[in-house]
Amino acid sequence: MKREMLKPLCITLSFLLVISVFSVWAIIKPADEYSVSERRKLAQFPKASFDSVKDGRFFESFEKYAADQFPMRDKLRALKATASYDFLLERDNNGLYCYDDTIAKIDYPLDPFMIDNAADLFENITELYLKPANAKVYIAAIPDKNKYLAEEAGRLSLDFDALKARLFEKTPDMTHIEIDGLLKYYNYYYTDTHWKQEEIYPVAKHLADEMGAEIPSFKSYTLNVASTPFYGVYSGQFAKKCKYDSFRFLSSPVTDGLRVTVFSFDEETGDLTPENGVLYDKKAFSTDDMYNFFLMGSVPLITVENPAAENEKELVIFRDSFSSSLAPLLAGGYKKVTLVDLRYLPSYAVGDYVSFENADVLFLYSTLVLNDSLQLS
Amino acid sequence: MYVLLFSSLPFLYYFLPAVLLLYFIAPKALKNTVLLLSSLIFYAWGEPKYVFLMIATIFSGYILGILTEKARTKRLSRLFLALAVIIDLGALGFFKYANFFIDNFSKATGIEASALNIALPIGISFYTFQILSYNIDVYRGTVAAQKNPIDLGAYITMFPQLIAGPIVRYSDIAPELKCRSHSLEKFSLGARRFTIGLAKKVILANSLGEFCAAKDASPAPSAAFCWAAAVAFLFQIYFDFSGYSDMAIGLGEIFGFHFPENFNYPYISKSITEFWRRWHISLGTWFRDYVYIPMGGNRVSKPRWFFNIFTVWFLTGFWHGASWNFIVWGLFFAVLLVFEKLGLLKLLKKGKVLPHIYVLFAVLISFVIFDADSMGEAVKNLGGMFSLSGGFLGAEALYYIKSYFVVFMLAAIGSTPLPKKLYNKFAATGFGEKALYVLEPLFLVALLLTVTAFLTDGSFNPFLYFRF
Repeated sequence: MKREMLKPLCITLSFLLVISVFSVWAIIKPADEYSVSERRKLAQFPKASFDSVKDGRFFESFEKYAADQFPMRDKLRALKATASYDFLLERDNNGLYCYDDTIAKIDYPLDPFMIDNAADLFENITELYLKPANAKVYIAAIPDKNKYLAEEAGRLSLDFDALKARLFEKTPDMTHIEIDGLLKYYNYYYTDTHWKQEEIYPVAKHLADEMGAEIPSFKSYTLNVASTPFYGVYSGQFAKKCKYDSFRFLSSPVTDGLRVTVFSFDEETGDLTPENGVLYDKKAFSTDDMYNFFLMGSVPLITVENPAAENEKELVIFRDSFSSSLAPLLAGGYKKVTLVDLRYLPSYAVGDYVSFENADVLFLYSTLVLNDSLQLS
Repeated sequence: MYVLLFSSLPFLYYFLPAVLLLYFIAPKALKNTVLLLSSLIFYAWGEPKYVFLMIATIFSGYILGILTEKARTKRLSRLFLALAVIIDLGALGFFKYANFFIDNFSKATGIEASALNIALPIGISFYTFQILSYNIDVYRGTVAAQKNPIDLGAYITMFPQLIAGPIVRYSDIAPELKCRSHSLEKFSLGARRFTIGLAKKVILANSLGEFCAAKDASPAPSAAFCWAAAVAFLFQIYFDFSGYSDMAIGLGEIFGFHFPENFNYPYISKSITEFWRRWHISLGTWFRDYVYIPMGGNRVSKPRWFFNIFTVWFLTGFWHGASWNFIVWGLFFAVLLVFEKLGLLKLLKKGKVLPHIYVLFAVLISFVIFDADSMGEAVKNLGGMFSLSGGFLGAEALYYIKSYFVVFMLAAIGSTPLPKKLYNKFAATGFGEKALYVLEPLFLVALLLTVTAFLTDGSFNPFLYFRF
């Protein structure tokens, strides 16, 4: 072979090799159901029908399937993150960035419509259930960790003060509680959205004080450390290698005595049916989301009863996942704490399952949900 | 509307390997049939119902081409050509422009008329111009009518250039339709061109598109953000469209065809006249040869000459889309070209830096108009660039400019001949020549894998030119 043909040969072979290897691999590779790193179900091969082929839906779904099921997907996502973040020096990868070993999400900009939508929903619930039940209503917003990192890391951050001001302005009859001054970015996991339970006692104490409840002192808790490393939701989404978290939780004689009831939808009747639950679910350590350790993850309704309570006070928290780790700390100050997740239990049905009579009611949502409040209903 | 883009995983790893396999194992006599069938599947992939419209248009072009050639008198021949033009432009006019005329008629007269429920068939502007050029060339006698419907069908539908050009004239590839050679060298050149085009589109154009999307998502973008987004779009459209042309030319090369070049570093131009010799070359030469010159070109009186220029640029703008902002965009260039012909061009030729600034500024403003969904939005976007209501700089603009700084730099350098010059200089050295045996294939594999990574990650992947 002539020397000048060597380069064309190498280019042709390498091009064909990449195209054909991935092509064959993509065709023969069995489809995965779920992506552990991205915490989501993956697209499956679409069903073809005359209509779906005719209007192009089949091919659109096929493209999603091809991307979701592509061989070495996680490695390729890591390559993309490296190319964007380390070579093109983009300051975030799909909205995520890493600073001081902490991965944060840029939730930006503030969407006033979303805040108004959330406030309207909370006001409707107040009018419908809380005022007639003579409940005391409180509201607080949980900042995302980007609020604390952004300025130092040179990233954009949603204007939390504007969010808070708008939310409070639209909920004039509620008692407004501010907690953002009690947090720093290191109070959150390196690789996850959430705050660390062992770091948020001051938040729990402040909320309890504002609501006139007395919770056990911090000294009464024992700090427990899980042996399994915790890779939070951002570690997979960010796609680049990152530091893992150490997973800790607080326990005490009070938390040990709490009785948890979980209400899940009965698929046949569509009603919520109660079953015994646990405050701390160690089964979560062997799943892809260890944060589900706290109050068993995403469920529409949970009650936590405290047989050791020295009062008859009840607390209802309209909440997102941040409250799962907070509620055990508040539970010591109440006879019963009820957690309602409006993402899974619509507000019109809440009255069928929850009593608000003379209760303290706290609307406690993170900016991630407030700024995307259409998920609440 | 779903389109099978070259820059998609289904194309790269399902469609393309299957077509390459079938094409290269097919005997010579069946290669055009493979191309035709695969092109029809390519088109039907996103637009099954309009594949019949395209087949009908090809069929009419085929029959009328033969009739035009066989006609015994010039008058009859002209009649067949007129029929072909009416059918082709009629289909284009109906599917692309009917709603524009209905809408404007309603606005002008106050008579309510409901819009037609029709979608724009993908690539109709491109394949219509190809069929038209074929029928006109047959009429002019510059090419012989194609007797084989499969060969003509393969030419019109050829998937590498079907939905976004370059507008390949029949005369450009008529000999290759009949007889063409395939070689390792051609394949490697094609694969190289395709991969580079793919990277231009997926890595640069899409990243710049993300910048523009960030500006669009901003509730109150600052003036600097609007300017930076205009610059981002200037580069995005270049890398998007020229990347797609590179992919088309590369695929053509793999299949043994030589498609015309469509871009030649347009942003280094020193005048708008030069810019349009370097930007979307196949469209510019199409309008020159089939509209401007038949109207008399510049060999007419001055008023008529300017009328010709305005007509061509009105049509060029309108070709891009049935919206007033495209017409204004075309006429904006007509005005600049008239000024250049009136004497500005002589001044520009003497300058060194200012002519470049003039071209980049004019083209940047033109693309703000082009990028808008309507004339109202174009005015709003231009207003944002010259207003301080959103502030001058702002944290948001600063963040995104910093974040995409390397992409901007790569785009700026990549839109000049500098990378090619450096490559040629390196390849001319003894060491460089040898090193490239290894480095070039490795670089191309790295590019291909990186592009695959971007596509797998499901990144932002619009394509600007398929809507035309």
